[in-house]
Amino acid sequence: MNNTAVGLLLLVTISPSLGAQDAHVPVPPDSHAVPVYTISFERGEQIPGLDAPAVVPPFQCTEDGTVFFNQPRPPDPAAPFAANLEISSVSVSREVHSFPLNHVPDLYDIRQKDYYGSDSNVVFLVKAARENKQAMQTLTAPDRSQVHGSENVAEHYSYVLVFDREGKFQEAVQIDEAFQIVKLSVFPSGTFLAYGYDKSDQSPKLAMLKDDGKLIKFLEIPPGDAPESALTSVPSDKGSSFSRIAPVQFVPSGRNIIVVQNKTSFPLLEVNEAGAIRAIRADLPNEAQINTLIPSDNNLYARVNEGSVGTIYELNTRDGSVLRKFRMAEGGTANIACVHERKFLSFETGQGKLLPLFGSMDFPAAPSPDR
Amino acid sequence: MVLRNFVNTGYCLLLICLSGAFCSGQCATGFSSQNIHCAGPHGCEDDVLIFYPIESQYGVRVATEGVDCCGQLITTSYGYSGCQPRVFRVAGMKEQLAKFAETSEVLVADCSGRYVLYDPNRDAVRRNLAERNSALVNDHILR
Repeated sequence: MNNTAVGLLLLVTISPSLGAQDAHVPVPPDSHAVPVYTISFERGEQIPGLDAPAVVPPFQCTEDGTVFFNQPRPPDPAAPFAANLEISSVSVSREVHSFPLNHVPDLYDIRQKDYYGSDSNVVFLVKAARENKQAMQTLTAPDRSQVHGSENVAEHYSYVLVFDREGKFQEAVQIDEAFQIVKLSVFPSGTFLAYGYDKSDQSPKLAMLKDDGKLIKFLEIPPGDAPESALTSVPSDKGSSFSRIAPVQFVPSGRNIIVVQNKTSFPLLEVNEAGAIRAIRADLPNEAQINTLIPSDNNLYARVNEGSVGTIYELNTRDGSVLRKFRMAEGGTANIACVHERKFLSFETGQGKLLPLFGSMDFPAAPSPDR
Repeated sequence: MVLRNFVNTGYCLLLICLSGAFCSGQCATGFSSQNIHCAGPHGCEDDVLIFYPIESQYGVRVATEGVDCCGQLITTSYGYSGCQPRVFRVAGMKEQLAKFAETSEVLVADCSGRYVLYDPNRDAVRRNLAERNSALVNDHILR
């Protein structure tokens, strides 16, 4: 891929042998010698009707191969001190949809915290107010200077906003705030899976919520399979009090959802619709850690931080063993969106437009020496 | 691009990301995100989602803003259109800019939105207004 290209989202086609555990691709019985494939790319035609200067990985992908991505936009003059985000989706047939949050009836100052695309709808976790109560506020900038501006000072609550897959708003559901929720996903049944932390001890929490937003139950994370605290203090010499929240990714896996504790040695947590958790321990070499999990309709594709654009390991969903290893060809991208029907889907942005890229996989080289 | 002391050039207000010499370390191929928890006065606790650029030689022009978290502004970034180093590969563009630069101070925006003096001598192209004892301006001021 050309280095002068801007941003990225790739739509990569991999050869037919990519499919998980294909019968015609021998997987060596020796788990310490896995075949290594190289993925190379070629560019497709620009996606029409979409202005996309930059996209934010990780992407989300549904089973039909539709890719969702987030774009930070210039601030909305009506809310100058709030992030202005826009979610769009692109289907395999190049159909584009946007999910505007600023036209939801009876809610004001809607601030996106997370989103999740499912096969039937797209849900957003937001904070919002029921009224528009503007007042001048004095805010402290990073350099400790004072900034003045008008903000909506009405009480804000947590909501789930539900859109259909075409971007039409359907409903707003106020949710229980039994803990601080930062990530949200939804099972095919409509039950929500939420991740966050306990305000009192900062311990990470997984919980299930009914489709009306009421708490069903907290889930029992096996001891040692998550950090004791979800927060890490940010050192500051300016008297600020900030903490980073441990990054977590929700990835659909059939009717289950996999919780990825990004860039840690903690296992993947597969959660089913009954709330049972199964830890999947990736058998990665050299204590490699998973940066992101690439959504896939078969097996797990884990991107780890090896090399400049990383390496992808295909893992067996059952036990986390490595099935194959993928390396990017020279100039490859670090941002593959998903694997769908033996294709890797992603895009590239260039001059504000979205360009699909199509890749192919070379035949396997010698087994990786590090396995 | 902005021309000072120069009128009616036909190029005024055209923002251009000049080649890699400017973009290095200031453009982004995209963004990463991070959830931040903040604790402020009066028992306020909140979370905000912020974005920061992934740097590379070329990419998206990056602007920064502040988002409110318990009365404290936390820096976040967004992208607006792409850097277009190819613009300077247009035949005659460099020559025309060099001609303008003989009689005027030609400012071009780098990928972070800061303006720098255009100089046909590439060794001097990194000089910016700060080095000339002027206030460092950015495109937010000049727009």
